[in-house]
Amino acid sequence: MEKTCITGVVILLCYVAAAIAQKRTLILVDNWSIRETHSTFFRSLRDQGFDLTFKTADDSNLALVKYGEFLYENLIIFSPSVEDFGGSVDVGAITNFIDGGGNVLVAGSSSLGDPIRELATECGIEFDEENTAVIDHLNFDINDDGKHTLIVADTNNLLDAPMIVGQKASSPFLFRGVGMVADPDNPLVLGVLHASSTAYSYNPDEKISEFPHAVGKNTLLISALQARNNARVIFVGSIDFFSDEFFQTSVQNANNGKRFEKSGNQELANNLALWVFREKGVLRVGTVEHHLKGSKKVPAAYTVMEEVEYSIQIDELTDGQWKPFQGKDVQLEFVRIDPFVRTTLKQKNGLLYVSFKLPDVYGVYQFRVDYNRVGYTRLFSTTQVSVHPLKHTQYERYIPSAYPYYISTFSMMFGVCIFSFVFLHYKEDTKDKKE
Amino acid sequence: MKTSSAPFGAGWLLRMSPQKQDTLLKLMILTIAAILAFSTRLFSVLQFESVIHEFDPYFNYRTTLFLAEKGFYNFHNWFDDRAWYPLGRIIGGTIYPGLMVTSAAIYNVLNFINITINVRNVCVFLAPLFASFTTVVTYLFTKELKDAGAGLVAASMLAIVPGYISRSVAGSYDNEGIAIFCMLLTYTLWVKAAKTGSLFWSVLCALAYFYMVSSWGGYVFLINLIPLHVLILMFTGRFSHRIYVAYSSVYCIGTILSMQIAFVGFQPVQSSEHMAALGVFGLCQIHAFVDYLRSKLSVEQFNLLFKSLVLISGSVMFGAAAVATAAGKISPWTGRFYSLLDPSYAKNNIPIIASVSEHQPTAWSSFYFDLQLLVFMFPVGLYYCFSKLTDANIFIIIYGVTSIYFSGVMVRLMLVLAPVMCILSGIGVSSVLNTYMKNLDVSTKKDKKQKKSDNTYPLKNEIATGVIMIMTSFLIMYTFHCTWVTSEAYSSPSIVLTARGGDNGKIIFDDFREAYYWLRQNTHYNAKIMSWWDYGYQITAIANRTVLVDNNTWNNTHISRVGQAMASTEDKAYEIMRELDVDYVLVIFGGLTGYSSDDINKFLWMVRIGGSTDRGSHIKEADYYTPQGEFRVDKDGSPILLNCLMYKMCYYRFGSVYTEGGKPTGYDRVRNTEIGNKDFELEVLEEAYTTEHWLVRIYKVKNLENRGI
Repeated sequence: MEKTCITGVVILLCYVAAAIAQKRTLILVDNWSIRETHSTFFRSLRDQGFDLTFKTADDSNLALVKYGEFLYENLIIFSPSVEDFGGSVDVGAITNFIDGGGNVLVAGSSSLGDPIRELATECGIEFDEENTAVIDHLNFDINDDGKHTLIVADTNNLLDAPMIVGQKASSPFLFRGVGMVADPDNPLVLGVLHASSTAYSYNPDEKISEFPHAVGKNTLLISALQARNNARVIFVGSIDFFSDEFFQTSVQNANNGKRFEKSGNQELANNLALWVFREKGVLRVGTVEHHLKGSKKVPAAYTVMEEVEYSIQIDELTDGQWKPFQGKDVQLEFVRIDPFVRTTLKQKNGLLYVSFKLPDVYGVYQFRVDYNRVGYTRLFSTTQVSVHPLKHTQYERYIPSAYPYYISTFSMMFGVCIFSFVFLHYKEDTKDKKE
Repeated sequence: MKTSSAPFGAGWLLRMSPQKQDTLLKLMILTIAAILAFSTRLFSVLQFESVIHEFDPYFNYRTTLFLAEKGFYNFHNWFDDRAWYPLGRIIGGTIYPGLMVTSAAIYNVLNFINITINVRNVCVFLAPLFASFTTVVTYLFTKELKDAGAGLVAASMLAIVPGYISRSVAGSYDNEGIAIFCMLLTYTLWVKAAKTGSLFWSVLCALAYFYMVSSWGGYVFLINLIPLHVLILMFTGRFSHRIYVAYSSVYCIGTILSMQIAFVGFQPVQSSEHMAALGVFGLCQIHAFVDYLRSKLSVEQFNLLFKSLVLISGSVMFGAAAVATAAGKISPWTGRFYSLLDPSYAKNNIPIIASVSEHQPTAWSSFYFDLQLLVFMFPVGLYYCFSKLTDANIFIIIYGVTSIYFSGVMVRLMLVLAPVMCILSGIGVSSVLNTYMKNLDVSTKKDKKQKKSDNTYPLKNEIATGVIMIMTSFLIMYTFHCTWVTSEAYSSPSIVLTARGGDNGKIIFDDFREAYYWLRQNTHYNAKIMSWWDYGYQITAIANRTVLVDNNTWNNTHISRVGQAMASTEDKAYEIMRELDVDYVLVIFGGLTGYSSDDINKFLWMVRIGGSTDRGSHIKEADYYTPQGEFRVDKDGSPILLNCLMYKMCYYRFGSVYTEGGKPTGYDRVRNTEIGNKDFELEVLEEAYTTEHWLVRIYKVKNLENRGI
């Protein structure tokens, strides 16, 4: 009894440790003042249970990896102007961190350093040049200093993905910083918040002599990348976006806009943080089962046109707990180069389940669930099975349409027997007479 | 004691009656020939080891293993999901099972009587064993045609003829190994049946034919040759009740039996290759009926009836054939058969057939190389056959003439020619020896004086001696030639290569097996390997990994898809490889060792086959040549060639390697040039393994980039 108790406690401790271990977060800052100016955001992170570690970006002891293991799950880079990371951290280390499954939140500003720019390029995003800012002469805030760089981003410009940005925000967002564009060849980049059609990105202190780097809706203010290993990265062009000041201040579009008491920044920032640090929209595949209808055993191979049952367990992480995923649009494909069967899985006892008839084509197939929805982790599960043709005993022995042939065959055989018998045993009478 | 022992041996022999001596002598010669046939085929085992050779034998070996382990019904219903991914292949229905059944039976019998031999050794030694059997059958066959003497000569010649050895050395475990035995057995029994007109021999012939059908696709030759024989007998007025009984029963029973082989199915009554046999069968019935009518009717009545009958039946038959062809009941003549009749057919129309080296037309020199003396003695035998025409002789003449034509079309059919060459040469040599041996003067001096008075034939004895000496030296030379050819040319297993080193020692290249074992031990069980189809059977058999295409070239589009991948640029190829779930790509590269039948030399076939289907229509052969129309891999080579996947896989990192003294880096020893594109990196592949002599290079297909670019 005591023993089980102790084991129970140990297991519980392990869970707690694991839960904490999931949320180790490193925050790199330019200077310590950011802790104060952005305290609301950090506090809300702490409230979510994140274990925050602050370091300056040029700290010489900086490291993401120790003894081959990552020290953190999440990385926040709030140091836009850094020219060189300290310690063993550089752009390569950060991309390795992402490829190793780590999540990164990056905030930029108009004075953007090269490392951040490089990191963005590695992730399919291109920041505009140094000292540029997103300018919008029609949608700037009433508190703008005259350069029209404190812009008001309308809620309609937000990506329609509740999993990432939360429920539709009521008030617009304040933004002051650098713009970016997404690499059109990269299928993984999402434009979370784009500027309005009247915006462009340029140095506000210079006369415009060449075509701006980003114009109109192509100008991204916030962009996200979910890598193929489901690591998540968010780039925000404005570090002020997360500041206490922007969280609290009121918003009013200078051109006859409605006045909002509080900007939508805080709400959006919190939602983005939850998504990027994989608190939301996380799915996993559990056991996959397939067998003949009415049987429990997995056969070594199927035969064409058999009825097959397939079930897959998909869990969603909600509030730190794995619960059965309630999606209604998960599809199963039965693929041999091309899908032969594509059907929607139904809920059944917390499993997603379908029963279908195999195609009348033999070959090596895959049960494939490829669930790819914006905001959710990418689910890909494939199980290879072979579908055999009929065995020689499984064909129909007598086909109805061939009955005339059967009759002719058997009547012929019968006739030959009779004929042979008569031919062999028939005695000609005439011979006797002659003799 | 010493003196008494010698006469004892001779005395023992002399005490036997001449008849018994004769039998003993025949038996001894035949036994020696059979043993010789077996042992001369063991060079490959002695020089290398007891391994399965080449490509197809590996498939046969794998299927035999399966049959021996799992039993016949599982074998019959075997669906192979390790080949032709993701299509799979129905093995049971697409092979001639005779070979596997034979070896599995031998294996089971031997193990039943507690001779523990493993399947591999049964497979390795099956072809030599059947070569011994063939020797015996040749003797019987030739005896039917001519006499026992000719039979012995033919059997001895067949035992060592290189044209047959090339396909039946130990380890060459292929259908042909037993098919030649089956073929000659069928012929022997057919000649016997035609001679006697007995139902017994006919049924035996049909059974032998069944065995032949079950073991080799070449049975089509046989089922056309026998009807041709019957047809010619009809035209020459030699048709008789004996032929009628023999052919009718052989055809009926043989056809029904042959349809039991799943791979053959309904072909004997549908495809045009078999229609000649059916037609001759019908003709036999008509001929017999006409003969019957002739015996009952007067001449005028008969003529009238005959003419009208011929006219009506002819038009009906033609109409039926036309309708059946139009309705698709009679399959159009398949490509392989066309290429028999017109050597350029395949080359112009079906690249996959033309690409196989053994489907190439035969070079003149290889006739001499494979047959030597037989080339000259063959006409002699033909002469003796013509000089004394019988039904049986007509058969061997037809066999000889047709097979010499077919062997000229396709290299591999040399195999069909070799036995008839031996038989006819055996008849020729034996007849020549018979003629002149009689003239040889071996009598005492007293008789010599009488002989000299023979004025009509001066120098009779001397001429005879001369002819016999020439003949003997020919035969001795033939023996030496055959042995030399066997040991030098036909005993290489081709899975292990050899080369002469600088100190005249032998260097062994065992790279193929090295690579296959690497795959077997280092890759996931379900990994898919893409390679050119030549290596498919070996990969499945030795590495036990799934392949996309193999030597059973049944799906041209699938092979074409692989060809397209090899001939495309990296990113195009990557799309194809992802579509087909490829994990590893394997190429054969000879540039370091000078092994000339590597993938670069086969590459043009990949381009041609890749471009032969709709999806590969963008791949054009001309793009891979220089403007002058040359295929070269050096700086002047076509840029498309220098950037395609195959080039990059073969020459990756090769640009920094010194291969030959006094030559720059990246010097290709097969093409004898310095390669044109030396410095490149692979984007979608990474090198996984390269064997010791770079013969086999294996690449792993990378996953998609994690961050999408």
